Amino acid sequence: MSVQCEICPRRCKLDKGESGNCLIRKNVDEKLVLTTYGYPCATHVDPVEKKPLFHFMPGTKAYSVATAGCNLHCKNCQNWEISQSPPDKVPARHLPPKELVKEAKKYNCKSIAYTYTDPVVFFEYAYDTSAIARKEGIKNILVTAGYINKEPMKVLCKNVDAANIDLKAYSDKFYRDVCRATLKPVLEALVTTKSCGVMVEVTNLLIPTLNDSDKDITELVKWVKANMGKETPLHFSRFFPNFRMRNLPATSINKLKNARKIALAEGLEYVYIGNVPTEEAESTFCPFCKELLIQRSGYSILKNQIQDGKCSKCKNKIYGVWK
Amino acid sequence: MEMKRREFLKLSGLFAVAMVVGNNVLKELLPSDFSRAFKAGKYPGIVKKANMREIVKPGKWAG
Repeated sequence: MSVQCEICPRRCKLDKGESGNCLIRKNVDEKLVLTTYGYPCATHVDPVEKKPLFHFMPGTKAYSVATAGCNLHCKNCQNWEISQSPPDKVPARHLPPKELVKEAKKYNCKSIAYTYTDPVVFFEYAYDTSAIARKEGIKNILVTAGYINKEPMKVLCKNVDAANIDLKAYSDKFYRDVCRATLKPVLEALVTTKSCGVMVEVTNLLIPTLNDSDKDITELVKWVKANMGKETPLHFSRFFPNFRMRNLPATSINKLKNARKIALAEGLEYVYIGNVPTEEAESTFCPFCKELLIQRSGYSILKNQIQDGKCSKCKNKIYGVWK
Repeated sequence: MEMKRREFLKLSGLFAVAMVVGNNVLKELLPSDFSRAFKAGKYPGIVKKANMREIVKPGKWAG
């Protein structure tokens, strides 16, 4: 008998012994099984700024965890060794949810980030861990491409405090050509996550010639502003050639600066540039009085002028989770 | 009760619209049929020991 996985829009129908498109969800004895449950292939203590999350407890550490597998197959994937390999090819350690939370506490991490590959595919492991973490006073972060069905996303969001969701392009063609996915479910996931009360930041990786024209950027920014709000932080990230996309150069710094300029002109309040050191574009400014609030250098916080979630100068509320 | 053809079609149309709207509202309100996957008994790949020196360092992976 076949089983159907309903986590992501692919809705893979699996015959006995068959694995889904993500490589890790499998029909074992006519039951849907997550083969990587409790077996992360990557566990690291990262600065939360690396996710990137700039409006979430700046300067704190996030215990970051991933299992093998992914439901997207981006030609430019930076983590393809673990995301595009079946679990039998990826060594992992045994770390059940309780032990994971214990380890996060041991390393003084204020949060656990489900990241590197995509927590959508290791849903049950991420969800069970997040429930324990919340009880123990540790916050939960999703770093995801948001290719998930609405119901599982709502369930996952129950214990999630912040998310960085990739919006790879505002183009269905891009999703189909580059990621073997579609745009609509990602847009729905962005809106669902925010409507569940999760603090959401958005990342857009600019790939030369594929999604970096002024028109591409303007359309994406307009959608974010209209559907997620002008307070939504947006990170324009620099592309580097990798995996199956080595024919394109790295994104020029001018392109990134231009994208930031467009987004600010369209009315987004917090726009950043990632994967490249810049002075102004990795700092947070108050959208009301323009005061420099958080000065960053790489993943380090040089200055933080946010007090009780408000600008220390004009006392206006700054979007984010600050403690 | 007698019913003219036009009235019957009108009522049928209204009923169909009510069914579609009702179905959509119920879909939003009721829990979905999405079901969890089970845990695997055994990891299919190599199970390694934790390297604590690696864990405390930021990961080489993006994100």
